[in-house]
Formats: sequence, structure tokens, C-alpha cells
Amino acid sequence: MRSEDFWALLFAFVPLSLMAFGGNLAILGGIQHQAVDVNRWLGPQEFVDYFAISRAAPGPGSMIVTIIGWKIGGWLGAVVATLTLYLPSSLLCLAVSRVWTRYRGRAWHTAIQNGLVPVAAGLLWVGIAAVLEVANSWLAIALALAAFAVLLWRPKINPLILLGAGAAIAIAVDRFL
Amino acid sequence: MSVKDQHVPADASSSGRPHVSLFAIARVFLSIGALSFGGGITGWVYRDVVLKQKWMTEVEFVTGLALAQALPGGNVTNISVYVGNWLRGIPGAIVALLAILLVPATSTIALLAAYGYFAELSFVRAALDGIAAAAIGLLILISWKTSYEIRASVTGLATMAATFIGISVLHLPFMLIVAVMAPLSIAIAWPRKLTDAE
Repeated sequence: MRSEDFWALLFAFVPLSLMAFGGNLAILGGIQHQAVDVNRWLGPQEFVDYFAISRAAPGPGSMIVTIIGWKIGGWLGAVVATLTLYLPSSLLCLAVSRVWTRYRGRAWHTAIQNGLVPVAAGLLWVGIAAVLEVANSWLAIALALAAFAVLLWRPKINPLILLGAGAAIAIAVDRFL
Repeated sequence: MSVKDQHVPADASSSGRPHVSLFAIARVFLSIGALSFGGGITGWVYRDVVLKQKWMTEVEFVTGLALAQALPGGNVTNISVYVGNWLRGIPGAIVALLAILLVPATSTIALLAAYGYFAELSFVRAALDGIAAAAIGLLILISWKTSYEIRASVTGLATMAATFIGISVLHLPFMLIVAVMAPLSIAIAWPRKLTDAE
């Protein structure tokens, strides 16, 4: 990996990392702009295809930057690109977490915590609505509700059983309905 | 009531935080990263950290989640950093972050290599959709439990509903809603007289 590629990755993704309010999907347009228009690392169609691939892998939704890094500089490029997107925001979060955790038990800390819980609850429902909107199918909603029911009944169930059942039902519906 | 019975122990150094090895943190976050298909990852973190390992209470996790969502960056990596730091300070945060990213990053590259083959198989896509949908069940579980936590508070429920409606129904900017609702909700929750837990 050439050093100008390293700096280009840094300049492309570090500012985006710190602008990703609401999660990394919020900066997907920014990633596309940097990768396709500014640096010409990928063509427009390549970006769409690679985004789909990155969504099929487990983990956070923005692993497309790993693919971009891989295309630029192999394994080293993949590592650098992944870290340039995740490290800056993580360092900020670490700093805030440390301040936050240090004052546990103080009355003002408890008051803020109690105030944040309802907002967090609202944001959680927002996240569910967003994921279901993307999935946009009755099967996905039904499977999600079924998984929820199973989890209420057996919260510590092995996740592989749950995921395997989800996959099996989806394949069956795809084949026979 | 002893300090241990409370949600929030008196101070961080003498709190009921369990001793968790860096190896245990790595193991849990590696498996979360490996299993979390199609979103709902914070649900997996919640399940392992709160329900299974009992490393944190519900409220401690959910407030961390609120911080993770309000700060820039991926919610998953942010909550991993928060949990890692809570358990073992800076080394814990570094281990949790690298562990949650390792399998997703390598398997993304592996999928890229296998793409030409996989794209032809419709059952692969169906399976991935099914896995993702099942994972959403976990997200519903954590939202349900958090909502249950605030069931007695009318203002809490109203705040939750307003946050959801503002973003998901009215499509107002995420940051605007957080910037308005968080201070408002904290102001409502603010006690008339501040008394420290100890």
C-alpha cells in the first residue's frame, strides 16, 4: 500500500467517522462520494454491489469501507480503512464513557441516567422501524415477532438455534410459496 | 438497602462491577461479531452482557446505549467501547472494539471472494434475510424490556413516544430530536433535591 493511499484513506474517512451522528449508515452517502467521486477507488455500480456484499456479512453495516481498503491495498489497506472509519468515533466514545462512568452514583448522574432511559427507549423503536423498513416484507416482520416471542420465553436460548430457524423458515418460504 | 441492591453503586471503584478478564471480553465480543447478521447487533450485545453474563444492569446498559447512539460512529462499536471500558477500562475498550470488528471484517473480504458464486443462489439470499429477521427479534426484546422499565412513568412513556414519532413518523432529523428530547427528559427527571447515593 502506497503512502499516498494511506493519507487519502485518512482524509476520506476520519472526518466522516466523527460526523456519523445516528450511526454509520448516516454517512453512507459520504463514503460513496469519497470512494466514487473524489478518489475514484470504485465505480458507481461497484459501490452498490460491494455494499450488498458487506450487508450480507455479519457485523456493523458499514463494512464496505473494509472492501474499499482491500481494493486499494490488500489486507493492510483493509485494516487501515476499517480503523480510519471506526477508531476516531470509538476514541471519542471512550473519552465520554470514561467521564460518564467516573461519576456513577452522583445524584446528577442518576438524574441524567433516568432522563436518558425514555429517550433511549424511543431510539430503540426507531432502530427497529428502520430495519423493518429496509427489509420491507411480511415474512421479516413475522419472523422478527416470532423470534421476540421465543426470546421472551427463553431469553438465554442459543442464538444459533434462533438464527438457524430463521434461515430455514425463510428458505422454505422462498422455495415453496 | 445496601449499595449492591441499587442500580447505581456509590462510586466506581467500590461498585459491584464483576471482575471480568480481557480474554472473556474478547471471547464474548468475537462471538457477537461473528453471529450478528443483518443488524440487531446491539441486541446481541445486550443479550450477552446483561442477560447471560450479567456484567451490567439493564439501566446501566441502556444509558450506555443512549450515549452510543447520541455520539457519532457506529452504534455497535460505540456500545462495545462503552461496555469494554466499563468492565476493564481502556484495555477493555480496545479489546472489545477489535474483537467485535475482527470476524465481520475478515468475513466481508471472504464474501467478496465468493461473491460471483453466491449471487446465483437465491436460497443464500433468503437464508440471510431470515437470519437478519430473527436478529430483529432481539432488538424488539431489548426495546420491550426498556419500555417496561419506564411503564410507571407517564412522562417517560410520552418522551419515548415523542422520540419515536419525531424520527420514524415525522422524519425529523435524528440529531434535532436527540438535542431537544434528551435535555427535556433529563429536566423532567431532575429531582427537586439532589442527594448522592451514599
